[in-house]
Amino acid sequence: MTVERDEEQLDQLLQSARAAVTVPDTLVVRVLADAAMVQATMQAAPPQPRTGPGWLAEIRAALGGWPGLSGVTLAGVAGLALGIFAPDLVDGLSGGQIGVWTGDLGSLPEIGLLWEEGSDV
Amino acid sequence: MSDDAPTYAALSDGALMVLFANGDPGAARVLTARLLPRALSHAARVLGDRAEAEDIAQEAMLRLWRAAADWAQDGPAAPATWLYRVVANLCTDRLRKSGQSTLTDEADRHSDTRPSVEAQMIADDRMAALDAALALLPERQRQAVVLRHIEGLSNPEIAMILDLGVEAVESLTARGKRALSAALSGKKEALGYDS
Repeated sequence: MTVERDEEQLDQLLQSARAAVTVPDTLVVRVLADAAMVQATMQAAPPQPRTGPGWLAEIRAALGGWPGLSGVTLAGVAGLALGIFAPDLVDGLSGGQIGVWTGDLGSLPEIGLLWEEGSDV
Repeated sequence: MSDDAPTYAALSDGALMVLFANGDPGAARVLTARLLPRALSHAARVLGDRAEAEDIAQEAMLRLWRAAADWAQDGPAAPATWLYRVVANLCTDRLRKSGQSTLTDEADRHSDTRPSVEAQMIADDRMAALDAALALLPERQRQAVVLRHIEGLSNPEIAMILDLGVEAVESLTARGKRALSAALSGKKEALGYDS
């Protein structure tokens, strides 16, 4: 019985200890000042997600942006068209070098042969 | 604050940590109101020194603020548990520096016969008597008793805070409470309890 009573009284004492600590205003002020300081630091240098350009954007920038990229594309298309539709002109502009390299076979197979029935290109 | 109170009241401590990290000043006030009393109470009972306990509580809260930037709202530890752990570690460091954490279980078994208990007790101050009795416990036992019987945490929570197994916590709290009872048993009249 005495043991149980001792236990009960100790529990009461421990319970009252839970409510016994009051936080002084000065400590609250110090803690909130720390919070404001840390928050200001975090806001001044927030973690930055990666915002740099991707590799495609870097290539585009190296070529002079969209205008440059358009120019390169246009030149490529024009060169291809010239090669297909005016190979002699290209050969002439090359000083006959292409004819020399290819044995006057041209740089492309004769496309017209594709339309000839029974041809074996 | 009063306008914001209903909004904040519904939020968990973890959600408030995220708000704090996003620059919400109200979150700091609410977290301070919720957590600072626990940190101070824990430190005060473990250290038995109010001024040191205030320093520890402030340092622990500062670490909490700094941890907010990386806080995962659905992380494994609640802010309160995390804070108790920081306070426990800071108290351990402080006691080691002052040489008060070297008490062993052997010392604990004889604590009820120590004359220093009498000297440390203030006749009409139960809290002072409790603090004096707590101060006689080995440091881990003291932490466990404070967290279990004063702060009201569960054994699994205490196990996480003190980095122990649940069974070890149960053993610590049981032995600690017996030691407290023994230390206070001869002082009941002075504490105003019936003999």
